[in-house]
Amino acid sequence: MSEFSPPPTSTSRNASFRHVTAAHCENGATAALLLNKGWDISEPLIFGIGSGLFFSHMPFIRLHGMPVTSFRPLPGAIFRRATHRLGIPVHTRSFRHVHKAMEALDRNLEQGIPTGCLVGVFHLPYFPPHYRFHFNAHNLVVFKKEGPVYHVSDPVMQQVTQLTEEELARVRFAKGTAAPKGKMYWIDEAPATLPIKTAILKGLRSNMYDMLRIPLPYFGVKGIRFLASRLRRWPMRMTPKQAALNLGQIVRMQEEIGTGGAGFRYLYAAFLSEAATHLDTHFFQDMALRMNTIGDLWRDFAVEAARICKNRGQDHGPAAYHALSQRLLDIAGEEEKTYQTIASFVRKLPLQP
Amino acid sequence: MKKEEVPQDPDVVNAGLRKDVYYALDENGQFVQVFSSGWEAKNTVILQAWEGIHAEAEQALREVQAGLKSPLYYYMVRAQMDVNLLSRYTGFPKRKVRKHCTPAGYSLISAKEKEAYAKVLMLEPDTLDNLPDV
Repeated sequence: MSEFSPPPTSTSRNASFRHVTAAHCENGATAALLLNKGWDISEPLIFGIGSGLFFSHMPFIRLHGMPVTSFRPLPGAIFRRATHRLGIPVHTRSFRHVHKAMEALDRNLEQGIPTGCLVGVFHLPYFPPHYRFHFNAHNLVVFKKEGPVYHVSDPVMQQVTQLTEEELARVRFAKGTAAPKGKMYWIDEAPATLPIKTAILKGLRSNMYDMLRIPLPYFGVKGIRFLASRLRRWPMRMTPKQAALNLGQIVRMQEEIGTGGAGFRYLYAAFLSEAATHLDTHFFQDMALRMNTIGDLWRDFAVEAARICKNRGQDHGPAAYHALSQRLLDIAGEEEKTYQTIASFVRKLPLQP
Repeated sequence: MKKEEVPQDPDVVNAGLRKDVYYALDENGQFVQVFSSGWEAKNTVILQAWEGIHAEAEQALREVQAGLKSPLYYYMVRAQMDVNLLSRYTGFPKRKVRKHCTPAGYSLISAKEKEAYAKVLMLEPDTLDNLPDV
């Protein structure tokens, strides 16, 4: 067990809440809950410990008639793994009835416990209109209730915001794919020390497994190659407009909101760089720079793809898709090399320092 | 990406309400949070998605004008919903929602049902009777 940062200070009931601005909502909400228990753990660190890096392309699951491509693990996974690996006990509850969900939240707030909530973004009034899709895996922290107004710290916003009871109830009970069902989570008590080094190593190990060794073609580096082979055939199988929509969908998943750019690759680079400090080895700083370069490759891919998406894909034929597919193969090659290097280095490190 | 390479393109989708957060390298080789007003590639794909949504709404509008569907159908599509999702939100069976999406079925709607739709779609109940004036 290694010590890390000063021990938790007791947060008094009326202590003001400290807002955390983050690239990704789930890391941000987790970081905010921890920060308000006295643990200053950065967003990248939580992302890495929670093994947040991922890739999946699953053509058998459709969203708006398009295959699902995702750069993140299932919602809730990062919070669950990160707190578990850090040895922090958490509470999680979901509800069937709106009034029970709101009552439970009120009880928490009366005791001064900031509480994370899973919400849908479609009805979120402070969100820019362009982001309002029926997307149900957004996270925010509610930290105070004043009369009918809930004070909300949303990690992807720069300031704290407010929601009325009706608005909050509506977003907590958004319907559709992966309905949040009023899910809420909180941390009562944080331990005096956190096993930060062990947690980082566990996060690295399981993340390298996810990216390299899941025995199905849809996930990790294999998933990127799989997408590359499918994408090459899109212009033959679909109208130019449809193919461009499919392409746009990928870039949106990569960049839209809360990825920190390049489908979380920059966020992971930041994590590796912090890991270098905590584990006291320069190896991870070198890996961070490689990860950063991989992020740049993803951004080049996005620029090229967006060029095709313009003008509904009318100006580009199979050759453009072929080039994009080649870019993905190059990225997959780079990622594979990097993850293998990290995996074999981490394997040699003892879990308990 | 280096700090100074973080895109600062015109803000199209953030509407001045927020900024994008990137992690980029500073001059000391450390990763720091950098705010970005927007990025052109990202703007393009988000606008492309909205173009699709608007096209669907326009198609729905034409079907209502042709007398094939009720105005409720148009409001549903405009809210990026389908029968399935509207049924989940209102708690009505899908069969009923589908019925209310036809002009004949809509004429049989009760005041209570109308109110439930209006609440979900965040409209006044009477708005549902007609198409908006464009």
